[in-house]
Amino acid sequence: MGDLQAPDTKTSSEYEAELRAASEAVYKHSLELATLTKELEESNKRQETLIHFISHEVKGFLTKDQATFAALLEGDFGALPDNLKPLVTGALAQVRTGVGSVMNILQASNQKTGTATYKKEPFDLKDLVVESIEKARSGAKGKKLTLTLHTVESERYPFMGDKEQLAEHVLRNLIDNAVTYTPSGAIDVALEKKENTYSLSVKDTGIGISEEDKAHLFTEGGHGKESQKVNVHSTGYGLFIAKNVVEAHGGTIRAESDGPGKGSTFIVELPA
Amino acid sequence: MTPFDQIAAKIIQGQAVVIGPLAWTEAGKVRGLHIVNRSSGEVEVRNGDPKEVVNRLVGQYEHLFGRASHEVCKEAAAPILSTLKPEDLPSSLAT
Repeated sequence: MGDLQAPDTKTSSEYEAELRAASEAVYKHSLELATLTKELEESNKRQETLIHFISHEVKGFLTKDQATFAALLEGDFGALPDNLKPLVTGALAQVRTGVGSVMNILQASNQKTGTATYKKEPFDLKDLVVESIEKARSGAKGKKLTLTLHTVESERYPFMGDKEQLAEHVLRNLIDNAVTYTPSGAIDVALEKKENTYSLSVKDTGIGISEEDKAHLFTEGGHGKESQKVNVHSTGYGLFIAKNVVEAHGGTIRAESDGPGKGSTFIVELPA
Repeated sequence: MTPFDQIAAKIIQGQAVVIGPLAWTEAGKVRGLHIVNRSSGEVEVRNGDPKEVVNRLVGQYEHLFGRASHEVCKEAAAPILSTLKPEDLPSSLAT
């Protein structure tokens, strides 16, 4: 048997000193963390301002290019030689995509800084959905996808809100995404009224969403792993903006999917 | 709000950035300091020498968290201290 050692005995003042030293150490760590947080916030703010400035500048150049290509195609400078037409048509399409991407970044930036504004005007939600589907129809047809609207023909869906932003950032976004991320099959858009809510769903038979991707789907820059393989031009702002627009209208947006390769359904609910 | 009310409020807010709501709990223990509205950050220095009340507030944090907390107090109060005459500065915050 070894010798028994007497337990350490500390006086209360020694315990107090230890406790104070520990408190001071924790305080210093918290102070470092608070300082770093402040620096990070300031850095983010500067970055945000820079992105906003650059986006504005780029948008200006792209918009001028867009107008030039459109004028060339319209024949404002005389008829274009046949061999140039496809080139200019392609250039115009690319510039339009570029303008769209920059507009998305600007919109997201405005939403983050709280400077995004929304109009309030009356319109029929069904008319807006029909318009959005028609705009996406040629893209769907090009991929041999069926694109169908399911709604009650006689029913009206009066709504008050920002028609343009809901059409551009929510409907177009969801339907275009469905077309982009569905290699084959069908896209079903449904609009229905449930008690005090309008429910809009966009269901596709596309690449689906993994559980990991679902977690950051509606966040800024929230690309899905598979989505970037399909759409390299994705800015990652689309669904982030859509969520902000829907929420600004008092609604909710969510995504459902049984997993990769099993299609996706995006559901928007707006107050009726 | 008097300059001393403002100094006390700035100190508590500065501490709250580091230690969170505990800053308000500790401030509540300082004799002569009355918390008017925690959410708006309003406090009142009442009774006695206002400089001493501010000294007690600084001491309350320093007793628990050491020298680093004293520096945080000075930094937080700096914008208001610069408007005071030297003789009006609380001794704990004088350089």
